[in-house]
Amino acid sequence: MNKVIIKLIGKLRFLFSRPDVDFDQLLLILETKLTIDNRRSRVNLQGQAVKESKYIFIKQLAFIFVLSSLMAMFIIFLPTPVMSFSIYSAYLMVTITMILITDFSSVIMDTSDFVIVYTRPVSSRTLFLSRLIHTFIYLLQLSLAILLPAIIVTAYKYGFITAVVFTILSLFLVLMTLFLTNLFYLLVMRFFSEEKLKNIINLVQIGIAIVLMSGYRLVMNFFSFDSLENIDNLQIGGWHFVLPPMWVGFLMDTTITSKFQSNTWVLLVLIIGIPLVSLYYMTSKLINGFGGRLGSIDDSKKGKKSVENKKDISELLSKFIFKSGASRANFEFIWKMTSRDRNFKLKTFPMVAYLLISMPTIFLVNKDKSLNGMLELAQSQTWMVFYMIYMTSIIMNVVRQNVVFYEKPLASWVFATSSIRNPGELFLGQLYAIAVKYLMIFFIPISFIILSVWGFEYLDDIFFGIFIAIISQQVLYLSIKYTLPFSLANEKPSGAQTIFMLLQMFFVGIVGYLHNIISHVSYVILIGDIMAIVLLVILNKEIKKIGWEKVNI
Amino acid sequence: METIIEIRNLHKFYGSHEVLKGIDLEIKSGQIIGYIGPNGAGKSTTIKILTGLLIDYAGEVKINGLEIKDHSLEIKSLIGYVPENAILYDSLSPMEYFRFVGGLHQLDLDKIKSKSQELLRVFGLADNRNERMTSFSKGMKQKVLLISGMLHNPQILFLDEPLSGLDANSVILIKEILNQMRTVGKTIFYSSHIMDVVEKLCDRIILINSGLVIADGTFEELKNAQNSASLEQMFNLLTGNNEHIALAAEFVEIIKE
Repeated sequence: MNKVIIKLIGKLRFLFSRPDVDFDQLLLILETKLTIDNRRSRVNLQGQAVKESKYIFIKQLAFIFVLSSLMAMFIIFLPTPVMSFSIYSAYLMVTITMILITDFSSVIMDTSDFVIVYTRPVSSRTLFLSRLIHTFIYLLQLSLAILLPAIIVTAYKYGFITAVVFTILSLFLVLMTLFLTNLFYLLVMRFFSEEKLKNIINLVQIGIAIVLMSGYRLVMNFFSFDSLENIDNLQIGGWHFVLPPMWVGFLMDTTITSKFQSNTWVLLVLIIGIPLVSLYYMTSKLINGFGGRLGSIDDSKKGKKSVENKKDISELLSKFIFKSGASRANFEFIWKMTSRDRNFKLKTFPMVAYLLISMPTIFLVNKDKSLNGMLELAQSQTWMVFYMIYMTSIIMNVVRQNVVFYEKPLASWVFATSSIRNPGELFLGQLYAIAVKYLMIFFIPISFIILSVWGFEYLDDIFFGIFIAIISQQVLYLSIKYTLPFSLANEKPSGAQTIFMLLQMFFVGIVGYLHNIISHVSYVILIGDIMAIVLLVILNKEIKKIGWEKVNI
Repeated sequence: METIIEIRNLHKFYGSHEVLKGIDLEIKSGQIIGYIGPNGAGKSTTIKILTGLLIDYAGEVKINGLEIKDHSLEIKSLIGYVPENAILYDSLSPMEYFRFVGGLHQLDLDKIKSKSQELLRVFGLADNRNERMTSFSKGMKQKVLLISGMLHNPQILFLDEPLSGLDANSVILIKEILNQMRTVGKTIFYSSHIMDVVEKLCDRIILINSGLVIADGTFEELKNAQNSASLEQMFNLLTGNNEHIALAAEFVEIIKE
């Protein structure tokens, strides 16, 4: 595909006949960049970096095309053009923004051009144009993958002319999206350090993964089509002027129904004017400052952190939990790294969010939407208490599974060269870091909900749930080989590990079910609590004794 | 001076490939040992064995009279290791990293704090001590690594290309630190490709090639034996194909085309 694109652009030589642009250089730079694009590893939905391979980009386009075909259903089935085209345009804008921020950011932010290309006899205009065209090619390919289903559907339902209008309007919208994203980058780069920027990108990636993994569950419940029928004769006004997708919606409505409103021309001016003005601004103003600005990303240190030592909360907690050096060190280490390592967060947070969202969706389908109605429903379903209690122990498993991965696995040499007699001490630190941090983050709010909705008689059940969660983790650490934290490059977990994990989940499920059945005999659970504490302490001692033979290095 | 490291007939295989083919060495304490050799000669493997990272070797390797295979923990608390390429958990700040590493060595927390704070000050990193290391330059990370390798006051120090990324002032400082550590009786195992530094810094130079020791002695001794002016020259004479003049001429010729 790249060769075709290069050939096509080669035909446009006459457009670039300026003395300060070398067209052959430009083509060469473009060709190289397109090749690199297709080999760039991307982060997939599970947050794992996809191994380098050919045609990654084409596969991505195909995926987007399929997704867009589903979205094009809106245009077929929604009766009002304002709504259907607004929704599709919003989808177009959101998708392109997200891809620009997550995927393409590495290209926009790439400063290696200045070392590799700019040190050669290449004019700054050639370099700038090559970057601009590169961005356009990328965007055009993406936009086509997103738009093609909609264009076909529009042509089929509303006729050829309408489809052409839609295509043109959408391309302007894409330009505007590019401009807004650029503005976002310039703002972020002005006010934050590169680190912050990476963190922001990380957050957006996590957001996308959460939306993709759990979005359909919510959409199914929230969308009720009958509420859309009422807005047949929507007037342009107020907040419509700040939502570009609505502009496309209204303009398409006008195209289809030929009903002009007094404000329609304002939208037309906005959607054509803003991209053109910003494009002119970008090419004329930025071209000179462009090199310096991007070149300075590398060394500039904005928003430097203070010298003050802000004690991490783990350093305060560890004092109360551990006396031994190694357990304590690993407790703090796991605690800090799980809040800071971007790859870990990208992998873990969406899975945790998915687990939480898949908690009873029963409320969403309940007819009586009043608070009292919801409460009555909840109180009648006591099994939900146990569902919530035991769901969180699965979260611990997700965390434990992901905590072994790290971008630079060689950093784990510190463990190997340390003089720890029993690595069991490390296990213990890790177990309680995960337990205290994650169990408590979820357990405190969940306990609050349970106690306030279902009453205080469930307090002992909550404690029993916590103990079972920790004990099941202890059993896991005792039964499978331990992998040092943050010591593996991304790989699939071993088969044995998966089996043990499923067994553990099964165990937790059985205990949860039994717990649900016997819970009304309250003293049984109290006795269970005491037994669980005894077991917990015994298992702690056992874990501490574990030797190096049970560690994967 | 007593013998601190003793290696007898050390062999090491990776699969069927023999990396070390019988190394014999005896090293006295209070010396800086230059351990040099071309890429793939077996330097890193030797260091990994001596630091207890690899224990499936054949032969005898003793530190302080203890066989490494059987006493890896005692030995690990005696030694400090600074790997090359400054790989560490850079989401942590230097202070947090030392707290972590010190914890793994079972050191007292207050002691770690005061000690690492002082050491960072000496290295000019006092202001960066609570910053995350993701923004650090290679040289800064290297300094953090050097401190983390010595925090527990080891008897033997294994350094792999310890000066990489450091500026000239830091290089002078580190060299002087190593010098003074030798005088208080520490043993330093120094592995590097920078021959000038090894020539000037080391009391004894060991050159290995394809898993065998091919030269061993002070620089003076080696110089006289091999009849070379510099260590670099000697290195090339013993391990290179000695074609560098012809190769260089060829290179220059091709560029001219």
